[in-house]
Order: sequence, then C-alpha cells, then structure tokens
Amino acid sequence: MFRLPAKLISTFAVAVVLIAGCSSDHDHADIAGFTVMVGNETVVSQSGTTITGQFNVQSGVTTPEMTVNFTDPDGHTVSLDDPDYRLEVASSNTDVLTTNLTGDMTFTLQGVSTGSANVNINVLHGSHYDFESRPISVSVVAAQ
Amino acid sequence: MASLYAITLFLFGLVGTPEVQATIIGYSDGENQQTNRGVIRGKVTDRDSGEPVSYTSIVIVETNRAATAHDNGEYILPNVAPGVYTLRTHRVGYESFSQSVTVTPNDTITVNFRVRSSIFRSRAIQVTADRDNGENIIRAEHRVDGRELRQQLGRTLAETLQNEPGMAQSTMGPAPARPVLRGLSGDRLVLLEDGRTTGDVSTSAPDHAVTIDPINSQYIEILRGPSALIYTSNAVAGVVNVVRGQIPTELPEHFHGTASVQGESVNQGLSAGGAVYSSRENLAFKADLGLRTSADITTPEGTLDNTSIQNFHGGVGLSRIDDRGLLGFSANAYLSSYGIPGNFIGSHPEGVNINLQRYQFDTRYERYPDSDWIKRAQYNYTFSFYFHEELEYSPQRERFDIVGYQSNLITNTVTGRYYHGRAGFVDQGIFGFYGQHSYNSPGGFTFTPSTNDLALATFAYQDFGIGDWAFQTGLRFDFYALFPVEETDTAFGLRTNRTFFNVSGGTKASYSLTRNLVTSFYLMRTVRIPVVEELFSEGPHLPAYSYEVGDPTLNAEIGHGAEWTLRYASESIGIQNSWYFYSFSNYLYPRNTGEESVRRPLPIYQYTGASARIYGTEILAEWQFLDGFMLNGTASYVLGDLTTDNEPLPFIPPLTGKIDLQYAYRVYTIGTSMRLASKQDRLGEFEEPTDGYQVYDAFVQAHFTHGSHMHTFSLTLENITNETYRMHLSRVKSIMPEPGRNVKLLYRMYF
Repeated sequence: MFRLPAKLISTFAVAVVLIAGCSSDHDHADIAGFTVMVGNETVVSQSGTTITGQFNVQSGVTTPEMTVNFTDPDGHTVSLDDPDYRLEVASSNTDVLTTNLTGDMTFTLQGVSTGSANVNINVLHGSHYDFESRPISVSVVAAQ
Repeated sequence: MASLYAITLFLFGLVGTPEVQATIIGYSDGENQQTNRGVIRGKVTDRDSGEPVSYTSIVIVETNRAATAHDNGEYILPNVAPGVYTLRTHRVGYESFSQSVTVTPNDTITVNFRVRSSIFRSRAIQVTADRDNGENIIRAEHRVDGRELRQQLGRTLAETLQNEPGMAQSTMGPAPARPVLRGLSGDRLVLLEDGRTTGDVSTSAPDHAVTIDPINSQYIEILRGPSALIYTSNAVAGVVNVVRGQIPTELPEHFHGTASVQGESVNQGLSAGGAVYSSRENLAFKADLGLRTSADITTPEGTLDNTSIQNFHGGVGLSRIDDRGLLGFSANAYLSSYGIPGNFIGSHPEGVNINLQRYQFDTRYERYPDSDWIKRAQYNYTFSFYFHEELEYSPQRERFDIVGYQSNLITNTVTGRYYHGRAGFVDQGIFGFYGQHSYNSPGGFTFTPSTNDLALATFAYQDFGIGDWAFQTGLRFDFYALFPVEETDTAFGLRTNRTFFNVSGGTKASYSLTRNLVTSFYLMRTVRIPVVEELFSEGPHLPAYSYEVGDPTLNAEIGHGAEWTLRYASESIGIQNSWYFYSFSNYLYPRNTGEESVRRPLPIYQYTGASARIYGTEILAEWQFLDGFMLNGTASYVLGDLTTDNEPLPFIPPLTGKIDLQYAYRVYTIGTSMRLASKQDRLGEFEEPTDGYQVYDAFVQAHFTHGSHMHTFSLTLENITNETYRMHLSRVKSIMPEPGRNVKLLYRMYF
C-alpha cells in the first residue's frame, strides 16, 4: 500500500532535471491530417476531422506495408525527421486486430479474428502526443 | 464611537467583563527595576469547576510572544515592554478569550483567566467577536479550528470545509478536490496558505490538486467582503486562508509541539503529521512534517480504481523575535502523487496519474515602529517553484508514460503591509503593496505558450464608525501584464502581450439593532483578470471532455456583489442568515464552438465572456437547549445563470444542509449529524441531473491531560448506512458514487 518513496523519488529526480535547465517549452508539429498509402495508392486519409477510405483486413492475414504521410492545415507534408517524433499505430481490440511498425513511418495490420476494431494513427513527440487521429473503424473478415 | 470589534465584544459577552472572566491586579515589583519592563503573570482556571486549565497558550497579540500555562494553570510572561496589549488565550476544548491589559514600567500585572468550555461555540458569535487572526484588524467571516477542525479534518482542504455554510467541493476523485463557495471556484475563490498564494496550477483544471494538506493546519479562515481585498482583487466569493504558521511569530517559553495520526477505513488511508516549536533567547524555531498515503477509495458500488494518494509535506522556519519586530525565514516542500479515475466520458480509459511538487522559500520582516500611527510594518517575500505532470496510460507499453500535460511554474511574490491606528475618522486600518512575477512553461500535449506574468497592486483597508454604524472599506488598484515568450498568430487569434489596469473596492456596514442582534451588508466591485488558459491556451482537456482554446482578446471579468446578513446571538442561541447577489458583466467560461479539433477528437470549447449572475442564501443556527446539549444546522442554496443566453450556469450545487446534535460532558463530546442535499436538475450545458441524498455520521471526541502532555481523540463514523449517493459537483459521478461507510480515527497529542 505504501508507495510513497519510490514515486516521490522518481518525481523528485524529474524535477531536479527540469530545474537544472530542461524546460518543457518546445515546438510542436502542426499536424492536421494524414494519408496512408500502399505504393502510390491512398488507402485511408484524414483531412480536418473527416476520415476517408478504409482498411481491408482478413483474419490471419498481414496487410502489405503501408506508409503514413502527415500534413499541415494547408495540406503540405509535415517533415518528422527529428528522432523525437515517433509513429504510433494502435488497435482498440488486439483480439481482433494487431498492428506492427515496420519503419519510421510504415506499418502493417494483421487480422487475428473476425470482428471490429478501431485503429488510431498518432504522432508521439518525445513523451507526449502531438496528434491523435480520429478512430478508423476496421472490420476483419474471414480469409478467402 | 467604538469600532465594530469592541461593540460586538460587548454585545455578545464573549470577552465579557473582567470581573467575570479575567481579573487584573497590578503592583510594583523589584523584579524588573533595572530594565524598566514589566511582567504579566496569572492563572487559568475553568469557569465552571474552578480547576486549573493547563496547557493554555497565552499570547500577546501585538508582539507575538506566548507562554503556556503549567499543570497548576499558572503562566508568566516576563520582560514585557510598557504599553497596552491584547492577551489572547487558546486551549483545546475551551473558547478563545481576549483581554486588554496595560503594562507599566517595573510592575508585575496579574491577569487571571476563567475560561469557558466550548460546547457552545457559536459561529454566529464568532463572525463578529472572535474574529481576529493575530493581526487584530483583518476579520474573517468564518473560522474552522479546534474541535470542529479535528472532527472535519479530511483528505483535502475541500473535504475539510465541505460542511461549512455555502461550501461544496468539486471533485474528480478524492485527491483533486477543490472548495466551492457559493457556486464559485477556480480563480473565483482564492486559496491562500499563511496569507500567500499556493503557487500551483490548481485553478486551471479540475484534475489539478490544491497543494495544501490540512493535517498540520492550525486553523482555516474564510474572508469575504472588503477585507479580502488585502489579498486579491478577485474576491467576489471570498478568500480561504489556511494558517499553518510556517514562519514562527511567537517565542515559545519551552519546547513543545503536536503530533497527529489519522487513519480511515474507506481507503486504507493513513496520515501523520507533527510540528515542534522551540526557542533560544530571541530565536524561535518551528518544523513540521506531514505524510499521507491511501489506496483506492471504496464506494457502496465497488472500488474506484486509480484514486490512491501519496502526499508528503514538510517545512522548517526560523525567526528572530524581539519587542521591536521579527525577521523570519521558512522553507517547505509539498510532494504529491495521485490518480484520476478513468472510464467516464472524455477521460482516458485507464485514468491519469499526476505527480506534482512545490518548493517554497519565505521571508518575513516585521517592525513595530516608534510611531503613534503606524503600529506594524510587515514585508514578505516568497519564492515558489512548482512542477506538475500528468501521465496517460500507454496500452502498447502497458504503463503510464505519455505526458498529457506538464507545467513548470516559478513565482516570486513581494508584499508590504502597514497596520495603522487612529487617523482622522478612521479607527484603524491597513495599506500596502503587492507584486508578483510568475513564469509558466507548459508542456505535453498542449499548444499553450510559455508566459511571463507581472502583477502589481496597492491596497488600503480601513475601519471606522459613523454614529451607531461601523464600517470597513477597502480599495485596491491592480496592474497586470501578461507576456507570451513568443508572439504567434493562431487560428484563434494573435497571442501577444496583454496589459490590464483595474480598480476594485467595497464597503461593509454593520449596525446593532439590539443587544443581541446585528445586521450588516456590503457592496463590492471585484475584478478577475483572465488567466493564461483563458487567453492563450490550446490543448485537450480530458476532465472537461473538450479541446480548450483561449481568446487573446478577452477583457477582465468584472463582478458586482451585494450581501446582507442578520446575526442573533445570546448565551444559548446563535443564528446567522445571509442573502447575496453577484452580477458579472464579463463572466469568463468555455463555450462550445460546435467544431472539433483535428489534433484530437474532442469538441472545441473557446473561452468567452458573458453576463451572468449568482445569488442565494445561507443560514446557520445553533441552540444549546440543555446543559451540555447543542443542536445546530446549516443550509445553503445558490442559483446561477448565464443571463446572456438565459440558461443555468453549470456546476452549481443544489440545496444542501447539515443538522447535528452534540452532547458534551467534561472532556467528552459525542454527536451525530445528517448531511443532506436536494436533487439538482437545474443544469448547465452537458450536465447530468443528480439525485438528492441523506447521509448520517457520528463522532466521539475526548481530550485528556497527563503530565505535560495533552491527548485528543476524534473517532468519526461517516456514512453510517453505507448510502449510495452522488454529489453534483463530482466529475466522476457517472462511474462511481461517493465513498461508503468510513471509520476515521484521529489522535493528536500536544506536548
């Protein structure tokens, strides 16, 4: 029950680092949408608050590798070369669908069983998000 | 004419006449011939039994010196400079008592006190007569101390105050609870510790905890009306000041202190605190320490996950005190780690973990000038560093490591106050200045810029009488500037420098209708400067299920308030009834824009200003109907409207009340109480209705003296029937009700 020392020591250490010169003041990527592409074909995109397209996933099958390009409010590609930026592709139901990062901005999806799940495509900047996508609904169907 | 203070002391007989409660005998004594100084000595006895009352603290208010009565009730204050002083007694289980004395050179004056057990401790009386905070001018409207404080001592300041008239608490789990007074909270209800701002970000979001742990508080006072202008221009609801006394202002005669342990069953909570006081010649020393740990809280419907709390606070203080003033320092730290539950709309499914730390350094310098007019000059400087981080759960890594929000806040505050005596028609007063610089650097998933804030103010507060009327009046000028580190043009406006200049003020008038009946009313103009979140913020705000953005063009929130109060107090009955009306010409609140954020799927709320009003009434009644028996009750009702849109304000508490019956016999007090609230179906935007409830509590308290130690026990049984109930101001009420049956035991030793 008594968890005070470990937590306090760790948070105290964080504070010491911050006092010593690290500030939380920094820039954020100005991301307003994205496109997910397989080769040259756009599969899914978010523009503003609207999701267009869908993922086709079969149970027991891994999708082809897909590439994400993030865009700013004007539709221009946002460069995320800084190693502090990381792609996160998350499944809301890993019993139905799992995700796998295959590169800095590439990923695959794998159907586990038939059913529905949501996929979120997010950008982590250090230890916090700079962008969280709208949930993208995915129906995993039986393999043909 | 005499001041209100003197009038009410006479009216209600709290101080009483010297022949009843204090005797003063003066005679020459060779003891101080060489120093030209005098001695105050005497004995403290129980008014009813005549027995000595040991462990009574006798304080010279004007010089902050104190002595403690020994086992035989006798005390001595040697080496006192000639002059007129106020002696004040403090003792657990007894009413505080004040007596004016005159010390002449080379004399010993004997002041014997006959103190009265505090079973009938009328709060209606306190409001007018028992209200000085050691500074003798600033009068609190209400004070929680002694037995009442021990009985109500909760996990948070808000929980400790929740049963006071007009008070409620907004919660988001047990840790981030914040007091709500008359429906006003956040920046509209200023929280102070030892008279200075807390230096945290608790006002900016409901999940941010207040960095005050009540376990080591000496007392808690609520200031309202013109006296609150000494601390802030934004005092429409009032000011809550928690007095912990970190910088020693008294020279204790010997080493003494307190030690407290409190346990409770509903969350397997354990807290401990202690404070020690000592002195060596002119140096006074104080150290205190507090520790609190609790597991997830239990409700009648199950355990509310991620609601554990771990707190630590501690501080040391050192003062050099003599008859001409004091120079004091203190350093303190407050560290806390707590959870916010998840699974309510907009929240993170697993909840959020919050870590915060605050470090403060204080300096106080006081002088008692050789002046007929300026009685005391007081200067304070406070440096504060605050760190806050909110960690969201990462399903991929299965741990809390995503920083949702972070803040680093550095604050430097300087105040100067001058306490003066009679000047023209003014009986007494205070004037002074205030300056504060703060730098706030937010981080995490927020686009709010780092900012520098500068606040400068000057104020005056005066007591005077005209005919049979007694007046207090306050006036304050504030300059406020806010500088974003970087000027940026955003979709929500240009974030650039903003400056504000405003005047706030108020007057309170009191009139004694009869010997037992006093009426008072006040008028106030208050100003609340928009804070950085309201001007420049941009980011998700999960507790409010919103993506909040500021409006850089916002103007100040101007409030006008009026309050009327009627108080009746006799030896066995006390009644106080207040009616109030507040009108806001630019009430700042987040309004739904109808759009969604592209950065996170949340609706965008932008801060805006609108006309609003808040009005209501409170009543407090106490009746000692038999010797030792007391019945008391409180009721509060408040309504709030956005008059621009003709719709109710959100987060307004329903009709609430409390009735309790107490019986005191010698050192024992037992009691039972019923807390009740009506349903709330007068709802603001996106609010859900809340059912009414009745909850029963009981308590037993005792205090014993053994040698040089005094022991107090307070056993409280809360929610006896394990009732399932929800509070309207709980943001997690949709997933879990309030705590279930709880056994709470507090042991406090004075040594």
